[in-house]
Amino acid sequence: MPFGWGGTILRVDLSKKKIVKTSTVEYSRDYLGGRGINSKMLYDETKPGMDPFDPQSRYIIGVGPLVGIFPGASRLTVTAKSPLTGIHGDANAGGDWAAELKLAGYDNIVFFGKSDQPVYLWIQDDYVELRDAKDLWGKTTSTTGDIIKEELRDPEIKVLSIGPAGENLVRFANTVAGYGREAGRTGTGAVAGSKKLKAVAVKGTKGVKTANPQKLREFLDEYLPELQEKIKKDVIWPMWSTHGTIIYIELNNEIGTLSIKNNQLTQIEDILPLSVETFKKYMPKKYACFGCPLHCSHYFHVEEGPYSTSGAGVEYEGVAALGTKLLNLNYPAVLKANALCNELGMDVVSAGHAIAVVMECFQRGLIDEKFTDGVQFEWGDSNLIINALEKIAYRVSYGNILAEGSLRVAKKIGKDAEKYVLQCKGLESPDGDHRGRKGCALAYCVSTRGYDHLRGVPQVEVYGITVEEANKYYGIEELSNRLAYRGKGMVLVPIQQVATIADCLGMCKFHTQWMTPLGLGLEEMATIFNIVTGLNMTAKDFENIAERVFTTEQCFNIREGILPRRDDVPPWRYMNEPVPSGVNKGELITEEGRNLFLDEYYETHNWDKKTGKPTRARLEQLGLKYIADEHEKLGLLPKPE
Amino acid sequence: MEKILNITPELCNGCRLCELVCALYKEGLHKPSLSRIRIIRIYDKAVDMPTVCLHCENAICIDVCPIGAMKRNGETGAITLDAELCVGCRACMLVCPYGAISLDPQRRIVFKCDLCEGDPKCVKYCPTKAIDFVVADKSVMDKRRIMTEKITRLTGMRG
Amino acid sequence: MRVKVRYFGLIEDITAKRDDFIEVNKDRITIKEVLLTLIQKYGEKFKEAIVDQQGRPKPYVTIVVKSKGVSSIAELNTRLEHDDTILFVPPVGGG
Repeated sequence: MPFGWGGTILRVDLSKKKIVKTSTVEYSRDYLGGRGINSKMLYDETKPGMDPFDPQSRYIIGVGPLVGIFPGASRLTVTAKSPLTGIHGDANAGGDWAAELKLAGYDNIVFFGKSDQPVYLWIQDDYVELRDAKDLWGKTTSTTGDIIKEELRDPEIKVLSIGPAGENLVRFANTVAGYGREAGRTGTGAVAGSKKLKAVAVKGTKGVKTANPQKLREFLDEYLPELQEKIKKDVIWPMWSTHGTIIYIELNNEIGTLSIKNNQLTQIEDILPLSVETFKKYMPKKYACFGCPLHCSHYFHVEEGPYSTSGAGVEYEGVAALGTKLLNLNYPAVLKANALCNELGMDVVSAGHAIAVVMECFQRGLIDEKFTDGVQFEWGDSNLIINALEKIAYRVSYGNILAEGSLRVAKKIGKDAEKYVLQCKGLESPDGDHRGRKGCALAYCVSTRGYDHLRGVPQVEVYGITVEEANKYYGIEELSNRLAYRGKGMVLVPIQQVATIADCLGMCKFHTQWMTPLGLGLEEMATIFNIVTGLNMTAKDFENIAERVFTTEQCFNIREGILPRRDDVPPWRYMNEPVPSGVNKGELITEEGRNLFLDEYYETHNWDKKTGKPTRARLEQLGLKYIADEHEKLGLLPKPE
Repeated sequence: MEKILNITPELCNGCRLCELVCALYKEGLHKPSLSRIRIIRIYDKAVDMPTVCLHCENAICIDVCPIGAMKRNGETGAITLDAELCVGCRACMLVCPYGAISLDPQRRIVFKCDLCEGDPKCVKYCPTKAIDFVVADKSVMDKRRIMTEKITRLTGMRG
Repeated sequence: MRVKVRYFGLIEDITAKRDDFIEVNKDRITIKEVLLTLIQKYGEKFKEAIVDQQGRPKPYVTIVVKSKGVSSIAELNTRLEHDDTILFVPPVGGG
């Protein structure tokens, strides 16, 4: 096996209780690793139209060739057909688990079939075994880890698990990769739950070899101090390194781009209760992922009171989804809600949305307590939010409805309630109101997993670019204007490629140009990759791999019934209700703008401009002829011009 | 003046970059189990603790080694293992109160921190200086200063 | 008149504070004039963080003015009133 990779992909048949080791080499040249290999396998091994809870559905975990080797490469991707959206689903997490899997010698694990009894997978280097999990079933994620470490008598074991939410098939249940480290979105935890797969425990001591350790040492001698300097000099990194992403709550509030009361408002008068200053009272220490000098996360601890709690990994998204979105302006309550989601194994963003849509429908008189078993849903009710999260995880009372996800809840309510779900293709919006940032608002639509920022954003719009630079480098003046549409779809694609490669390598996107121009681009990642593996990839090679992976995901969605031009649409609120206040007051996303964006975007990917579907020519160019043939048979290929 | 390794656990956030670079520099491998420095993480107590040989002044490991493989480096003050001499009896592992000495499962001899000839890599790359290499008196004064700040804040004596 | 200035992120690190007040003996003042006062107060590092060689605000710094509760993006020649707040906001990306 070439250097960098662990070398082995595990295939685990949970029905027959059979474990097979296969070689990573079959996939690594064309799909690299991590999300790339996951997406390929999901595409190939999923029958179109299959229920995500079907026993033959796939639950795939992948790390990446840089994991355990390079600073910042601590990430794993969990991939499955999403029970929430019915399309491609995946989620990414940091921490210690990914490195441990690599150190045990593995790159990816594919689970299929369904066990009749709860099981967990135990990996200790070459030794792999399915073990009885009946004592773990029903336990929270932290307790699951503790019991396993005790049973196997090693506190250094790393445990990835689902919580009660996943066991109960909550459609947005997540996979928890360690303390405070969640692969949050798209409901992968429910897929594992449907298979009665409770956890994957790993101990890895084999280590992993690199092609030229001396060269890597020399590279790190320069790279690490440089990175430390850049972390201080950049515009975003120092904030994250010190405060973490939670500073975005007050930043967004100042300019009027915070999602409050489900985006009915975009700023509030007094943000102090959810500011960094308040958070500091509950933050004993910073918390880092394996090998990362950015250390953007925190432990948190609330000593006393009704919301006493402790945990780790609270992010801006969590504070927003369970806090400002719901007008819950009590930091201890927000932290408690966040800790609950971590322990019960649920995505904070989708959970927040499920509660938000019910609150808004109450507000508008579309429903009353009859819908929620006699319970009033009012904005800002901290106790309600905490109770609701428990009920959702256990599918008790109204929790059984909310566990279906905000879009299904809205459909059940009827009366146009779907307007109040901020989603695209079934996945709800991360925080931040982008009616005043057109490129971002539309970039989220074209993510292959639904409305999502992690596939890529037009960086020039976030960081800003002068009129001169916009003309000089792109010949498009509008790129310097956050309220303009032109050019945004085009500049998005290179960032998507960076994010895709980062996910394939297991590199945290915060270190890359997805985050800041000072971060790693394709060129730099290729350099690092070559030093580690001894191979000879160029930025262009990486570009092709990124396009191959991204296009495969796009084709998965098309095979599931997505029509990109029709379905890549921002939330209804963004297109119909103007921003009430702040610097973006009055802004909306227009249909004309959306179409202009999509024209440029589809064209830049070399897909059919009219429909957004990859053409046969493009698929063959990417080595995906088999997808072209399949889509042709299914009548899904775009009609040639 | 002689420097010592100084650990400030409150600054450690568990990133384990030290483990990564130690194994890389000492063994040319990506294998934290061969790192001389290890971080003990107790997640639910928000504890991340760097643990490494602190090169005792009166080293029991030197005393107990039957063939003199454990030696004191006069320049750096480090206690170093002479790999040529080590027979893997593991008596040193038995007596070290910190568990600072480990067994290399491949070579079947022990290994431990040798302060990288006076330029410890873990110190060089620690993002927060949770582990530092300082003159002994300075590390003590730093700790006293931190304590002073904590106490005065508690009693509200801040000016 | 008096205006309030609020710093975030990189600029907050340079000024070592979140909030500032500027008092002047005038009825009106532009952002540019406030900026010059601040550059005098905080020096080169502050200047470098906010404006480029040509004296224009760097693209990643959004200057926002909050006047009578209404926020809007500001230009250098934007005129300020008593009790307005100027915000120097860094890029807000995803997280």
